[in-house]
Amino acid sequence: MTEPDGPRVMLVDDHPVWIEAMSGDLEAAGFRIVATAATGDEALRRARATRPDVMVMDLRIPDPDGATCTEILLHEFPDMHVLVISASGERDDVLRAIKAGAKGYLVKSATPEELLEGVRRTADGDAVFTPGLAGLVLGEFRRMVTDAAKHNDAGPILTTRETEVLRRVAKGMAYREIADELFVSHRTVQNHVQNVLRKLQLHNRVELTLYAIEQGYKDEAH
Amino acid sequence: MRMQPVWISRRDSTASQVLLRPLLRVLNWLRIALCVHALVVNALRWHEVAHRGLLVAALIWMVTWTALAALAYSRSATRRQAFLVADLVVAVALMALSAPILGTTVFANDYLALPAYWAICAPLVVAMAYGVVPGAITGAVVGGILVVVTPSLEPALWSWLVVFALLGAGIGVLVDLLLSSMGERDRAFAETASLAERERLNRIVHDGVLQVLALVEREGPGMGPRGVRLAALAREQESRLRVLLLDRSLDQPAADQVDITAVLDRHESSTVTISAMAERVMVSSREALEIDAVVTEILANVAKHAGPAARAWVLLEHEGRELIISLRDNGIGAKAEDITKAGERGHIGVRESVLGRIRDLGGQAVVRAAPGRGVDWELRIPVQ
Repeated sequence: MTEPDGPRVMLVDDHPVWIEAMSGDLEAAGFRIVATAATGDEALRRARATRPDVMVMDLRIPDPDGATCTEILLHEFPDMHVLVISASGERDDVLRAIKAGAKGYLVKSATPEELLEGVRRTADGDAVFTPGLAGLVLGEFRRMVTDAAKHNDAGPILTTRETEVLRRVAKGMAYREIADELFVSHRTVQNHVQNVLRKLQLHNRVELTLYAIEQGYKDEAH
Repeated sequence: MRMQPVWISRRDSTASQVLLRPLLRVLNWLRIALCVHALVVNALRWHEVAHRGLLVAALIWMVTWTALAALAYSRSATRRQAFLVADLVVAVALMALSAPILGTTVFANDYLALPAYWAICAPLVVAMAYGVVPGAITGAVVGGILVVVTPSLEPALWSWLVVFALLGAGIGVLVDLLLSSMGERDRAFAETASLAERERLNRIVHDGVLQVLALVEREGPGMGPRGVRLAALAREQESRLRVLLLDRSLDQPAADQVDITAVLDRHESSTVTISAMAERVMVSSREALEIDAVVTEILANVAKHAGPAARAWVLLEHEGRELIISLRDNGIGAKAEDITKAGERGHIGVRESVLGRIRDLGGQAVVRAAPGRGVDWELRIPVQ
């Protein structure tokens, strides 16, 4: 309210009390809440109508679920920044949203300060790298490497440095501590983290395109 | 074998009720058919019978009993053990009267008993209600009474005993098999139902209680010192509830393989963060128990020695044939050799629980620690 031209935020959560609490905090910090939604349908409709800069998306909402909404919206609006809020550590859904392009995820028990910081970073287009997300991304790259080895082609891989940074994030170390331990700058650590997420999302987009092309060939053959 | 007659009391399992009611109905029709057959047989040898008056009386009694049995077995109130005993007595009596009423020579023509095959019905009911052994024994008694009344080595006479005993046993085996497979099916069904119920409860807790707790946690600190305490309590309860919700992946029946991620997730709390990959990593339940014990021990040490503000992070990775579990805390730290030597000072926990267990699993444990910089464990455990 203090800055009427602050980032335009949309909140998706099926609990009115949460929406109320979050919008209060965010508005006090200068964000503009342009829409709220309690179901997947509402989220899609209102997001298309209001085109927010930042979506704060609860994963557990009535159909379609938060991960699916994230996939659909980021496909339509690649510039939208999505921050996922998940109450349980449902890792496959979180991973799905992240691969579709979400900037990060927070657990619902995060403090208001953590939430504000997360939304702020998301609005800036930065990744919100929690230890949980780092563990998830590490695991996903390992899986992709194993998969690629099975098909005898090179999958996306993390550099040694990126792995070192991610493992430390997953072990709860702050960027500053990681920078000290690896003798690099704070900024370098941040870049590594951003790169990793971009690599994962890019790979996902390539996969989807390849899949679409394959399907296209198949359809032509019939 | 079933000790309770499955069809006479209300304690019966649903399966036996469901199965036995139609079986008894079929048996009633069989009894009527065999009764008609017995009437025809006796009509055909009417002129040779020694005591026709007694034969008519016996046949009237057989017809009457057929009707009574049809009524008694079709109603649960009269489907009683006492009636079954009476049924057996009638069958034995009619069989025993064969030679005296027909005349020994007439009976010896073809050894076809007075009630013919009608008498098998009572042993068949016993077989259905009590199983294979009682079925075989009562079959042998009803068929064997002929040998007792007119002792002879005639094979046609002995075959009554043999055939009735085998029929009783055969039906007993079939019903036992059917009942156990139905019981299995019911158990599987009940398991599915209870899992579904648990899912439903999970959803309710998840969408309701957990949300409110999270909200209290979030808003509490803004309400002064009391609010801070409330928030801390809510956080504690939230972690516990979440652990309970996650439990469901562990209590799948007869799981010799368990998902180690779910096992580790149970340690998640306001001070412990668990990070892992999205996929499940299955290990044997023995390995899971050992790993769980190690993680429990290390986290207990964090709670005890790392200081009140310490937080801990657990990272699970799966690389090739190895599990890598990293546990780090940001507590007051210690010297690494102090931790591994703790055994000598009376803390046998670390040496036995952590190092010993990891060694038994064929893995390695490395600990890094420095005063003021927390403790950092790395456990490497080979898995299939």
